[in-house]
Amino acid sequence: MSRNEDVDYRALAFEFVSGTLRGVEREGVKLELQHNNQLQLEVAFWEEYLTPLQPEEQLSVPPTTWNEIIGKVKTLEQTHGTHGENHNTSLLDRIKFWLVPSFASMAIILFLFVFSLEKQHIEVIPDYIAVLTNHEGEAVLTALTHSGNKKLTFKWEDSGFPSDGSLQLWAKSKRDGQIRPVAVFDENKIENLSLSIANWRLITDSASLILTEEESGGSAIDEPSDIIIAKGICVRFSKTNAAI
Amino acid sequence: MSSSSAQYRNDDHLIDLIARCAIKDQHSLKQLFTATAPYLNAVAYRIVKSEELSSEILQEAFIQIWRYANTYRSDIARPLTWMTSIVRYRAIDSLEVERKHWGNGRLDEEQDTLESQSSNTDPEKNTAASQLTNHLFECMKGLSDQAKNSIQLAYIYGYSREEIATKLDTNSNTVKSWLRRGSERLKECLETKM
Repeated sequence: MSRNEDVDYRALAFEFVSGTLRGVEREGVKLELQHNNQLQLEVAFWEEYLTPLQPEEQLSVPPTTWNEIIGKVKTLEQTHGTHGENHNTSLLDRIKFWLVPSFASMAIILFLFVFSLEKQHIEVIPDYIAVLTNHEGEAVLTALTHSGNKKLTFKWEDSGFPSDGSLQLWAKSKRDGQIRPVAVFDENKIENLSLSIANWRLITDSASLILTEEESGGSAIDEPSDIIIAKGICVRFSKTNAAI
Repeated sequence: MSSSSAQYRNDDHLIDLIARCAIKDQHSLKQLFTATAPYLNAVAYRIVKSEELSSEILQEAFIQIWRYANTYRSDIARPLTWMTSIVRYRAIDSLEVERKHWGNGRLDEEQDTLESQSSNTDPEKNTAASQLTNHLFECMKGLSDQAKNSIQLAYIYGYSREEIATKLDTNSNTVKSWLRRGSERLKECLETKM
């Protein structure tokens, strides 16, 4: 890495930690921190060395604060269970839960993903993109078709793979609302998937993509399990010339 | 200083409590809260300037601490550094949503605090300060007043570049330049002491 890039990461980390980095820039750095070791080290440096700037003064806490915290902790422990899936919220709450972080992170993730493809000298004109996020709004998988190719390109974020099962990708149709299988990932997080004509039509017709945990080899009944790892809406960027 | 507030400076004690939170020991979360909440509340309050908002931020921060206690690594950050960062980032994010305007009286109060901070941080007076704290304040002395004030206004009080520019009667590009040069000099100095 060049010295200029080193200096840039230092300055970026300093402004992130000090708080002068705001808005979309700040959100972009948060995402970059998830996988950029050098940036993580620089941020950790400034967090450690700037903390002593804090005055020693303390401010008494309202008596109800602890009760609020423990109430939320107990609710968290009761409703999230072992799969992290909240079964007690309404459908509207679940839709809002998925949509807001999807929209919020999509522009930034798209920028970083397209930038990384362009660094590999892959000319990218995005056609369809979906950013699949988990319950906490963190990106798990970005799926993209580009330049009219009948191919899905994937960018995986750091997340575990089931030890004795598979991950399966599903597409939910805009036209009839049916959920149909797209791909099964057994052990490897593949980065490119050639699409059959049928699956290409599935993708171009999809309202959203869903990633579930399934038994090894994928769902035996061609229906998604209840273990939803991530989901995200599909966005069409441009018309393609590919024949359907 | 009371025994509970003294405990917020006891790294080993806090590391142990965070580890117990990672295995979902709610009693340890209570102890962690008792030991650190007044300090962290002040950290949040200095940024958001509202007791109601700082209390909300404290709640969100402790929920985050509870949920992510298993990710804390004592070899990367001291426990209070980790917790302070969580609180500060929450407070800064809340500024994007609710920004309050302060009158001149509030700004003067912050200027007074900056002056008293600089006199309190003379390492020769503060014999109980950690080595890290000593290094920081020694290196801060080598910065220009503009860089020093910009860093403190940003880090302690959550000022944006534009707000620092208004406060110090300049423009945000100049502030960005002060911060960049200040951080470079600070890191060069700190690296010689490590």
